[in-house]
Amino acid sequence: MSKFYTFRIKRYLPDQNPPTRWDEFRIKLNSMERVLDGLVKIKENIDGTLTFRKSCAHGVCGSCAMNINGKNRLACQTLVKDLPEIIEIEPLPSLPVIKDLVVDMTLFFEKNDKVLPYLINDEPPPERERIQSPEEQHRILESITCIMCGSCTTSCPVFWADKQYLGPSALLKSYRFLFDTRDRATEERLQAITGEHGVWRCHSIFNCVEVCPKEIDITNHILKLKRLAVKKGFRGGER
Amino acid sequence: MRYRWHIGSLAWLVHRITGVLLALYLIAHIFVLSHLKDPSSYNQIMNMMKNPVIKIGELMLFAVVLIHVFAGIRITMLEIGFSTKYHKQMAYFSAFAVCLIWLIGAFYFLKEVF
Repeated sequence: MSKFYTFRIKRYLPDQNPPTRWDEFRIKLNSMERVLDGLVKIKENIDGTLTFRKSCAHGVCGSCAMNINGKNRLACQTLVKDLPEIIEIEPLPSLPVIKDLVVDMTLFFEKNDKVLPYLINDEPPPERERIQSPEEQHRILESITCIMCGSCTTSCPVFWADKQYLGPSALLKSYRFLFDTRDRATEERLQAITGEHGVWRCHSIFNCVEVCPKEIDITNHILKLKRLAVKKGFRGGER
Repeated sequence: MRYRWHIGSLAWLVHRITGVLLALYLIAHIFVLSHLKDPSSYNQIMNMMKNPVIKIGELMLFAVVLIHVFAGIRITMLEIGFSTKYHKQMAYFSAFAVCLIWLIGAFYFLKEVF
């Protein structure tokens, strides 16, 4: 069943005056089509200057995260039939906009680097792989599914107010290695996340859980990090 | 920038606002306590407290305290390991408990005046 939808898109064209404006496009979409399909149709048929990120279009790469009707989501995972007739699309909140729906993710990836997002293990490597039991793997399975789309961090009111805050995404990454039985850098990792702008800034607002396209219970992971930090004697960055 | 509210972010906002209000209230509270020096000035200010307007104010303060307490209990339970799966139910239950306790409290508060 096809239906007409109005796409209200917040445009940002840096070389125009004023650079910000709202554009409306009316297009026909069937009930199986997603917001991303609508955006592609607009770009192909109506306005070729509309800019947005997309890559896999199947909820795996995390490129097309944007604010749709006041909530961060992946455009490729949001069916238009689940939305009202007027669909308002904005870029991800609180990050600098480059053009239209494309934001500068540098800040977001900087946070990721701060939590040492790689396995640290100085022990001599075994003959084959470092074995993990299924139970041990299960503990970090949910955090591994993160696609780093940036929906969570940019939905976090603490991040809006404090750009130095690590944010849900980086903390989830930290959890992924802290609770990995093969990793040995527990102290170092906890040192990195328990500073002034670290894990204690999380106020359990659950905005990140609401928006995560992979349905990861991020707040739960951050709370586990807090409990681990307390258990290991880390309080506000110092022991 | 507009962003959609949900029960979790509302609970946080209400917790924060009531916290600030309570911090401001402390000033008024200390002002009243500063009249504890001698019985006459204390009685004078206690008589002032019987004013219905003040009673209504006290009722509002009671609501603010209750909201802050229950929001705090919810967050503490989450922090000590209560499942985050139920955070919404906990918020709704807290709202219900606040209303119930406030109504019961309001009955006793107003009984003193009327």
